[in-house]
Amino acid sequence: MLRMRPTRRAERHRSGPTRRRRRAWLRAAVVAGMAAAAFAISSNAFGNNITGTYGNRGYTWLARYYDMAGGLEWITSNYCTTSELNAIDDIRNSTAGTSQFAGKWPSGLRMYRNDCTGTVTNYIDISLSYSDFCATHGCGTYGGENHSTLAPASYCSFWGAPYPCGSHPSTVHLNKPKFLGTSNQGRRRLLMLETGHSQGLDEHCSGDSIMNDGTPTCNNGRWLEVTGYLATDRQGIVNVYPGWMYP
Amino acid sequence: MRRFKPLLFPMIVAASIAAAIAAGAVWASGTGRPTASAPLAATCSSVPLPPADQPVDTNLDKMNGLLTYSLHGGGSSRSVTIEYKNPECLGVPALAKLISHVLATDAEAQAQTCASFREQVAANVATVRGIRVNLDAAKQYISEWC
Repeated sequence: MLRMRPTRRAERHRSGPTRRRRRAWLRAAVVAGMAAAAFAISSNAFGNNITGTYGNRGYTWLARYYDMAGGLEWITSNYCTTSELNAIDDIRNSTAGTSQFAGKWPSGLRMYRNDCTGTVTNYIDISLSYSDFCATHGCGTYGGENHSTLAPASYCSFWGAPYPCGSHPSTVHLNKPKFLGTSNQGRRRLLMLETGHSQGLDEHCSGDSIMNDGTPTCNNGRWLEVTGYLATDRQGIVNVYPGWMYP
Repeated sequence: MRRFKPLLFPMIVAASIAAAIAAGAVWASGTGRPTASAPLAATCSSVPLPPADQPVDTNLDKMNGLLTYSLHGGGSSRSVTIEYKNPECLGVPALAKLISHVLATDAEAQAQTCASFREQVAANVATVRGIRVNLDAAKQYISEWC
């Protein structure tokens, strides 16, 4: 074994001032590490924010991971628009065949607009409910909001799913005058954002995402530049759903 | 062993920085985050209130009497969870308005869900959406929620 003579540096290492320097380095390292962690948390630097995991959020169909007949999430709308179908296509096209899903949902997040009655049957997951917010919510400049309800245990049992099994339903209130006053791309973006909420994603402004809100200060106002799910959104979906699936 | 000490120390420092950054990354990605909502607010008298002119996204947990609402703004969002049946919460006008709005929204959807369960029980269906269903559970849902 090669024997090394103690170097000057090693000698210095044992001296009092060096020990102090070493402590200072250690303190600096801990502070730097904590700062990095705090930055990551506070700025959501990694973007893929979620409001919770399945079954407190999301839908039982997505926890099964396979392509279901019709679609994974069924939608009813009380004011069917072409923009809804466009948004459904945008979502599917930007999530199908991605390696990020590692074999789950091979045909992407396929939503299916079942009807235009606005009626929430037990097999409807998302209700798109349009109204004039000045009459129903109080006037405001915003386009929509999401109200999800955790499904009761008996609802889960009906489908053979253990409780908790996600939301039933998720009602998206859309401000009809505002909705109709925006471009088709603006409508699609709003629908992507609101159905993103339904799936357990949370809003953030750190980089391009379907979960950017529509304000000018959020992500430099790049609201309309985002036309489908991006890597951060797909990762968010992966984070909502666990690694297991129903038999 | 002693002769490697000078090398060991920078390695420990580098490893601790890497570990802290990795922990931050994992947390921020949501991978290691606990499941659901914000912690239950201790009191409704001092919780951040939902603004009247901004969207409020909510999650209702009727089994546990909890309502979580999100406050957006400033590039991020935060969540507040309250006991929506708590008289103290109902005594705060902004919360009472939100609770009323959320419960009315849910009641409408629940009534329609009840109707579909009743129809399926009456028709003795075996499958819905291509999935074999449990009609005993449907009857239980009706007795509990309809």
